[in-house]
Amino acid sequence: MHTAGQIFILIGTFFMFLGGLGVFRMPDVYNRLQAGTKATTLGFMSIALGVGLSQPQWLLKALVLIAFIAFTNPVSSSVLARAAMKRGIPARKVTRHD
Amino acid sequence: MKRFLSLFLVVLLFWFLFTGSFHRDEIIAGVVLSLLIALATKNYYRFNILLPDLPVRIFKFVFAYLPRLVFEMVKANIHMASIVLNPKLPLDADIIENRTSLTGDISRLVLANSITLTPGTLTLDVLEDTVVIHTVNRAAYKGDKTATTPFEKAVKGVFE
Repeated sequence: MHTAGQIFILIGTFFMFLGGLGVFRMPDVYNRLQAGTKATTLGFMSIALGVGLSQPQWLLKALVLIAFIAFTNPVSSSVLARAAMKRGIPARKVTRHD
Repeated sequence: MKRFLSLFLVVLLFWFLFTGSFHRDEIIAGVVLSLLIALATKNYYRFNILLPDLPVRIFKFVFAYLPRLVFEMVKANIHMASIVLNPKLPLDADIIENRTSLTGDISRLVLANSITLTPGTLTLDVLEDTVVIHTVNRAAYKGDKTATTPFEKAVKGVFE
């Protein structure tokens, strides 16, 4: 059980790292939010589940935290993206530049 | 009255989830606090969970909606990782509009959330029945309902 928890925490930190890298590499605000939201949502879920598995007395609270994150994290990034759109920040159509 | 009772029950459920104990004192404190919170915030929440088919909805939510959401989230993360780790950064981004047939506020919110967590899409806004979506894979979204269709069915059975 402890090992399974550690593996979940490792996977979560890897996704968190990918999210950070995505925010660093992406060209405009919308793409950055895309990379950030998905990676942090699943990354946090994985970390919370890992903590719950390795410390079973925290499992219930970890599941409640996962539910809250699943419901609030997409809303927050949607609101940020909506604000950017209302401000008139254009989305780049062709974002590759060699 | 039904709305007030729904709010009270949801607050009480979260009290039990957070405290994690069914000691007598905890239950009394939880009921009193939930009543106070429900009284104070009843004007801000408009939902009704006291429906006759509530068990069916919970069953559908757990066995139809959740597995699909988790599967799509894992897929979305692998998709995003393949873009971020690719040295060429193969983006093909655009803002598109999709239509939805859902009418309830909460079901639209859940649909928008689900779309945000699916591969390559981010909900920007929901205007009446139009969902404005930013996508990193323009080629995959040809039709008017490409992004909304997969989740609409699952959301419809649960929240509407």
